[in-house]
Amino acid sequence: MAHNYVVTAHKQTAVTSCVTGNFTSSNDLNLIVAKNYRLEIYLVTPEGLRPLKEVGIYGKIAVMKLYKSGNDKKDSLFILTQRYNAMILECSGEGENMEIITKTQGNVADKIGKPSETGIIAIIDPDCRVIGLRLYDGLLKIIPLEKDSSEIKAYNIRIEELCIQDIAFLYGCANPTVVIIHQDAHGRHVKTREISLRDKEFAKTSWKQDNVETEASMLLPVPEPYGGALIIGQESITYHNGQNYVTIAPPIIKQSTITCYGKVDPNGSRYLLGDLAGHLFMLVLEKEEKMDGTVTVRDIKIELLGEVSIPECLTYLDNGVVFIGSRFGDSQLVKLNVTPDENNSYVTVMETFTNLAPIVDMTIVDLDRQGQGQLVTCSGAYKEGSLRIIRNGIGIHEQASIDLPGIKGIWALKMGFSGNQSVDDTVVLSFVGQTRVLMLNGEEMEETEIPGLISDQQTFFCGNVGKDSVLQITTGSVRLISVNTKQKLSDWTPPDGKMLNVVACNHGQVLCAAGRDLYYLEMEDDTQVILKSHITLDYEVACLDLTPISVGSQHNPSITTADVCAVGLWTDISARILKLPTLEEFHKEPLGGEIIPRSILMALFEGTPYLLVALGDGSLFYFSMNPVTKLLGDRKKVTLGTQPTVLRPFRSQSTVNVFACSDRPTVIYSSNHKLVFSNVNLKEVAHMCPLNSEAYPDSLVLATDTAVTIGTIDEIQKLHIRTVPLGESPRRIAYQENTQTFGVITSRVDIVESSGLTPARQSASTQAQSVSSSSSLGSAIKAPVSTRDSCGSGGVAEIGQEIEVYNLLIVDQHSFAVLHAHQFMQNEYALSIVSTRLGDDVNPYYVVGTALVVPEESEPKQGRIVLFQWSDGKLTTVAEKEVKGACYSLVDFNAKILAAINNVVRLYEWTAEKELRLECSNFNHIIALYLKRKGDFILVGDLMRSITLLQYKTMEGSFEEMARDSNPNWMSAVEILDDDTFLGAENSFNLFVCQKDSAATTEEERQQLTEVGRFHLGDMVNVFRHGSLVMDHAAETLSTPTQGCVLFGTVHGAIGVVTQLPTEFYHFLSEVQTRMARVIKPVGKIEHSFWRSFATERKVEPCEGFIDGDLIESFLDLSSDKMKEVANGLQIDDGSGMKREATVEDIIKLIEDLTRIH
Amino acid sequence: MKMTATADFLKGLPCYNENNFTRFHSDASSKVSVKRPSVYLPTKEYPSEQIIVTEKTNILLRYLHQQWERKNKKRESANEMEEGASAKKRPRLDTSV
Repeated sequence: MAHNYVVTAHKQTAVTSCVTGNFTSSNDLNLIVAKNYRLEIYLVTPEGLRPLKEVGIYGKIAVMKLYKSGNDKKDSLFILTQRYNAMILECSGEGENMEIITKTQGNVADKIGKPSETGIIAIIDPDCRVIGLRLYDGLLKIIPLEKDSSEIKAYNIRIEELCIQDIAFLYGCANPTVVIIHQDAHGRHVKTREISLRDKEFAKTSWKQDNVETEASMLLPVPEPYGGALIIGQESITYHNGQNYVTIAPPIIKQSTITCYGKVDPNGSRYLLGDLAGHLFMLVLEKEEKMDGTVTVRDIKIELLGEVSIPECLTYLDNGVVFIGSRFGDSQLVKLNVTPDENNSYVTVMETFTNLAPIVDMTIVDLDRQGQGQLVTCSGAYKEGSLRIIRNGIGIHEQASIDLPGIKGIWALKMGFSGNQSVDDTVVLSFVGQTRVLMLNGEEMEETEIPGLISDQQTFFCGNVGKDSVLQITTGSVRLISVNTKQKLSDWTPPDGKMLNVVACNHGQVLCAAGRDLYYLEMEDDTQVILKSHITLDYEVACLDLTPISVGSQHNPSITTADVCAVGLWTDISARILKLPTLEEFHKEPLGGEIIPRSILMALFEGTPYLLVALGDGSLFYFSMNPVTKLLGDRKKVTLGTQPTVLRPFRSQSTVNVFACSDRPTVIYSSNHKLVFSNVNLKEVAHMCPLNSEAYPDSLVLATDTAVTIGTIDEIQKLHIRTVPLGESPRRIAYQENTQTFGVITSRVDIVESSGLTPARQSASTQAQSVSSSSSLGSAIKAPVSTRDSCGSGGVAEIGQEIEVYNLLIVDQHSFAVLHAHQFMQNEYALSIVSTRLGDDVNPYYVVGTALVVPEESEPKQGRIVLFQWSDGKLTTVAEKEVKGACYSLVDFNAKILAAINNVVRLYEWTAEKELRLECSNFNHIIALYLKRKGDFILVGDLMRSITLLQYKTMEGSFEEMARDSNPNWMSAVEILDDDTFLGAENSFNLFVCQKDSAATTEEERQQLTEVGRFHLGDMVNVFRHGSLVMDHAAETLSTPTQGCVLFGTVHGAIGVVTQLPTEFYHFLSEVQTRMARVIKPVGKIEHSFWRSFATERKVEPCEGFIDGDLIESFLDLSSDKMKEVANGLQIDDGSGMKREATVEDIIKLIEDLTRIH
Repeated sequence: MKMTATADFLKGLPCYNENNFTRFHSDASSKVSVKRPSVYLPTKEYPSEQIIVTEKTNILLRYLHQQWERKNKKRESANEMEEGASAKKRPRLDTSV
């Protein structure tokens, strides 16, 4: 099967660029953040950043600039993509009506030309006459900014300087003038070139400066009155404007490399600079007024403000607040303070924006043993390195628990025991034939009695009503109790000694049913309940609800009354809506089937009323409810669990959510006006009530068959990310179930000092509970470099030089504490790790593959495979094996170890003498970087020769090459989808699928892997893992027949899913995709087919064999008329093999199910 | 002294709207932002007002053309000068001495 569905489960989070300006309106101050191929538009408000819109671009954003031309009050946004699509965007309308209008667009690629190694640079003339693009060596492309013409003719001008480091337009020039840093054999030089727009050529050079600093890399054009530019180098900063120049070489900038800047003052007298170590600097130009009134730069001052996330870009917003965009760590909103804090930092972090990028490696584990995977990623780099635990669904954090079996219902009450009437202090528990009361005393709970409460009957409802009363409904009566006296105020008993069995209540209304009889009561004067109406229904009542759902009730539920109630009936299995107070039925919805409704609930989600009906088999119907007529529509069904489900509303962050209590507890909430069903990390919940007590604020009380738990709930959102900061770069991760640990390979930066190596900063490996190290003295091999001192200070390395030090960290799976750090030898890079059992040995081992890296060698010639055992809090080196190269990948293989070492794939067996012994090898690779196995098959991902399939012949004890892909793909990750289908990711951000054709007639054909799928992902995949983020059972209940699930993690911090589709369904989705591509008018007018076409430097081929899940799933966000436009005339197979016209509802159902696989 | 110097660096930072960020408060416990902007789905067609096209002329050809034109112009003006000069020139009558 070669039909794949690829979709983003977690969008990319690395910030690649950010700009500030007036984009959405001339009065709005906006922050626009680019995250690979998405833009996020924010508004700066008194409350902080308010997210406005996320805009997808069909291309990786290479450059993003805001500019204001002529008399415009609003900024225009210029974007250039990696595949050379240029566009100028403007914004019109406000709020939900906001539209992004593509004013200008076109592809600016040239047919010939060598793409510059220093990347794409785009610059805009400060007077907005032209845009300059440095795309290819030796050429500068000019786009004249002419507002009135319908066609803009861009042209190239030849630029003599081939190796350009940076280029910028100078301020205040009569003709557009660029300043460049270029490099030649002698060093780096700065030069200005004036552009003659008429001749389409460079005119003159007004000034130049040869031999600036050899590492000068960045130019900051300075506005008038100063003019000129700042030249930023590794060690020095120079201001130059042709007439005069000032250079400073402050020691504080030498430690790292300045990579980004942000202008603070419009007149350019202050700039913020950020470096690779995360230092934030302020650069100030000190001015000097001359006698003739002109001002010049007298001096440059630079000061360290503090430390932030390693910045990729930064921009000043307003009132001392700065946005720091990061690729390696969380982006930040920071405030600059005039007075420093105790750490001498002028920077306070106001807000952080979670970033998983770059995801270097990851593993899927089921830590809670709930049948649901959690993803643990190696994220970030350098000081921002961290482990991230990513979990789908909502977590309950247990605060207290008591063993109490047989609970039939729970309610929290405000009884004023502590004198504070605004918090809950009592929990009422209902059992068969009795009711018990627990009083909350701080964190303690003690059993108590409330005189007015009936305790020898089962309670169906108990809660505060009116001003200071409590209502209790039991089998025999409805009674009111005074909060003040705790005594009974009044009661109502059903006529003829009937026994109540189903009830519902809100703050002033009561519904109770005894068999087919339904009674409606209202509270009067806070002291009594009065029967208002009574009817006898067709069948017995199964469930009831009278939650007020008129719009507005969400803000103040206590003062609104319900004008309708919902009833679920036995026998005819229907949901009915009755008017209040008359109980007159006006809507009936047959549910079908034979399972009775067990719980019914009306809820207002994001202002939209819904009716939810949960059945006895764990399935749930939900309807939207017309806010005025209260009629039901949009019937939908989902399966939540397998047991009868109880629906209970609760509030979290002032929004309504519903807790579905069942054997698979679920939280139902609304996001983007769609209902989301998010599972909870608990095995089973029978009943639930919200609790807000002094000791347990904003908590939930959850009853299982055996116990009551008080817990707090995660913020309501789909994916939950927990961060474990490491402070150094995590490289590889493996999970060992037996020892309940993770093995994590990290690298940190140490500085060579005369006394030896010193860590540049404290991090996970320096702060571990215990440490050990590999010494080349006792090792099988000698570290080739450090000959003078075997395990310590660098014999060769210069003092002050930075050196990478690799560690194996043993991390506890529960606390994520670093239990142990094992440091590898100097110059020894740990590259791979696997946890496995070997041979007949019962012990699980962490196996680590390393390389000894010598700068002079083109590739490593030596390395090790080291076996570690973690037991009783000690890490022991069990064995080591010298290998002739870098061990890039390790895979467990039938109790043996498979290793990729330079260009060879080798299999090692574990002998009785506890030694690794080479069994067989396979050559024929350039560099074998990635290995995956399935049964006896081995998939090898090569540096530049795509993928190869090997088979291990057990009898012969050797490898046989089965087939290979002959395309020259430079691989970044590989995975086996099934016995014949293989997935690859390569370094031009494409995915491809190859198939083995075992049935082919000739040997030659059988040895070819055929490329059957191609897709441009727009992001580089570092890792593929089989597994899923959703519950195992979720897939069973879905109507969509997807097969298998591979997760991937990317450089930009995205997590995606690749799953396989049956042919029929693939063709259906392919048709939906084509129609979606027609309905959605892409920003920048880049065709969807262009965006998803497989593109490398060598070739462009159309997308094939892949469905773009991101496009498909955006169907759910379309307006209903656009949905109709997509659905119109689409044929669907309704399961019988017959085709019929698909309805919008059919497609919604299918796509909603597709969204539930991630 | 150094501290005051830096503090001066940070005085008078630009202000576009003095209210911005004044009512900012994040949870003391978590500063992590979970707000996400809603996704913009463009379904309205706006005809593009301008299209960028790259000039097809080869750089070398353009250069040669320019040179040729320049030369031509020079020659023309030279010719013009010559012609004009010759037209205005009057034969010397007093050739005989």
